[in-house]
Amino acid sequence: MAGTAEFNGYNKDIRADRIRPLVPWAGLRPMLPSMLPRVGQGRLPNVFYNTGYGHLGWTLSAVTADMVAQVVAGKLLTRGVGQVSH
Amino acid sequence: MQSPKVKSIAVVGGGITGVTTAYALEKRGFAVTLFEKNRYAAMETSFANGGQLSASNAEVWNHWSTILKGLKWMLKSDAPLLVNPMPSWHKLSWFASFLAQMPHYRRNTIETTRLAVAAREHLFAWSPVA
Repeated sequence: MAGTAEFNGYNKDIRADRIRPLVPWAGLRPMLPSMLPRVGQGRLPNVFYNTGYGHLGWTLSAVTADMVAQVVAGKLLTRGVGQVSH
Repeated sequence: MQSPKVKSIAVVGGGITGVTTAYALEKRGFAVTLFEKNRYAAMETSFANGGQLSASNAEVWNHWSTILKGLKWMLKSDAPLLVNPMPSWHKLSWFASFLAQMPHYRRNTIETTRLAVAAREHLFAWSPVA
């Protein structure tokens, strides 16, 4: 398994010269200029974001999932926040 | 558990982020529907990371040494990271914001590392064998 990355916007085209002789596969890695993820409420009251990991999705998602769930619970629950012990 | 006013939440995208988000929401008592356009979960960006949890690779790239390396890589077609040199307003404004973040290199690297270490602790806590 091998990988390369390219700054190329919303584009999953694969350059054949970059991957030969491997099996082609591509995914988008959304990334903000600060390289920090965007976690929390968006402009609409019922829309929340958990995105912008760049190359660190597996590395960060377990904690940001909990952070965004905490925000959602705080905004959307009737009273207080439903606490769950781990 | 208090009963949520909003009972049902849609999570868009079934990669590692969507799956963990759905899991964290469900643990808080929400009914969650996870939407994924592919046949199975984690078939795009989450698919081929090779099982890496890169807490020790959390350094942000807003630093001269990384930018110089990136510029050198632009001359090598087999570099691990390339920039498509075709300019667009989005790309130019993105890179301008990227450069503007350079003074925050240290703060942002520390924050990313803190998140990565906390993520490890969550994964251990979620693991049935923990």
